[in-house]
Amino acid sequence: CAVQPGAPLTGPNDAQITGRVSLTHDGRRDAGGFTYRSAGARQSWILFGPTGTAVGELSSGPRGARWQPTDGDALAAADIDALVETALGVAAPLASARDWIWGRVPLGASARDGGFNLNGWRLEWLKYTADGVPRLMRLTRGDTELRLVAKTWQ
Amino acid sequence: DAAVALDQRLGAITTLSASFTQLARDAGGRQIQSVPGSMALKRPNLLAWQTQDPIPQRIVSDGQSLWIYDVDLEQVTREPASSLLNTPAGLLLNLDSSALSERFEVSQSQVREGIDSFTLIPLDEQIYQMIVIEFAGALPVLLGVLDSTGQQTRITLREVQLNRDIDDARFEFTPSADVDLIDAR
Repeated sequence: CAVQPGAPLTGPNDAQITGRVSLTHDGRRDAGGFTYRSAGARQSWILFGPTGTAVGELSSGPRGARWQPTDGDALAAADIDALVETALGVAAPLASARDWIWGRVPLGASARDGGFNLNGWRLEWLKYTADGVPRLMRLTRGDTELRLVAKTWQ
Repeated sequence: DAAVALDQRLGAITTLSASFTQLARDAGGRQIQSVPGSMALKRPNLLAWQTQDPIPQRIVSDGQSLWIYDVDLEQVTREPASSLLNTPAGLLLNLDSSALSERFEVSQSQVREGIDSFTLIPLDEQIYQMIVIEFAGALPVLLGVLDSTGQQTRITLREVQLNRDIDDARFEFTPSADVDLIDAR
């Protein structure tokens, strides 16, 4: 049940969240795992394939963003959202993850029933943990759907 | 020869149920995942496969489709029945004598006291570089696959029961209303 907590959440800045993610695009779906870390202005996403093999790491900080595949050459870009599209061929609004992964509406986004709209993306917080932290989230834009379920928080 | 010996063992299995641990290692041999679960299969193409945390998942082959239910993500993917062959467990169901000698180079060895190990090398490039099936007598006890990326998946079977009556209802799957279904057939 999607119980919306009262006060806006203020998640810790330095955190590690692990979970599973699926990408549905053009009628095709791939699923795998993720480890998200944030520390100050830096954030990183390690992406895992369906059977657990690391696919690569996306990281971003004050000096730009970088994609380091497990095997293959690194890629860099000014910001993480542009990099994701170049590196993985599919867009994802990760620049504002620091907010939405904790249930906060990012700056510049327009809040709307149980989620928000930002740069053409629609995010919905579908389910929360007992203490009001988002557990299941869906991000959609056109025929792309990203679905994340957070499982551990440290 | 080894293919005939393996065919006799597999051919004798009409149903199988077991609990298992699925262990995945990356190409460097580093353990990346260990998932407990249980499975049942019934010739020719029925499978019920369930894993628990860290990756709760249900895979059901009901003869018409292969259903892959990701419990955490609340998503179900429906694939054609033939996708069963891409799953390690599906191999156990579909390796019969004609397939064995035509598609694989089969060798047999005794790895430990009372354990017969069969190694299958696909003759044409497939998803798997190598498949290993180990038996303790008539009971399959290990199913291992080395995939094209060099990743190893070892499925150790326990509490194996062969040729018991298993109701077809166990191989039925109906996605619940609130689950996100994608039809990938």
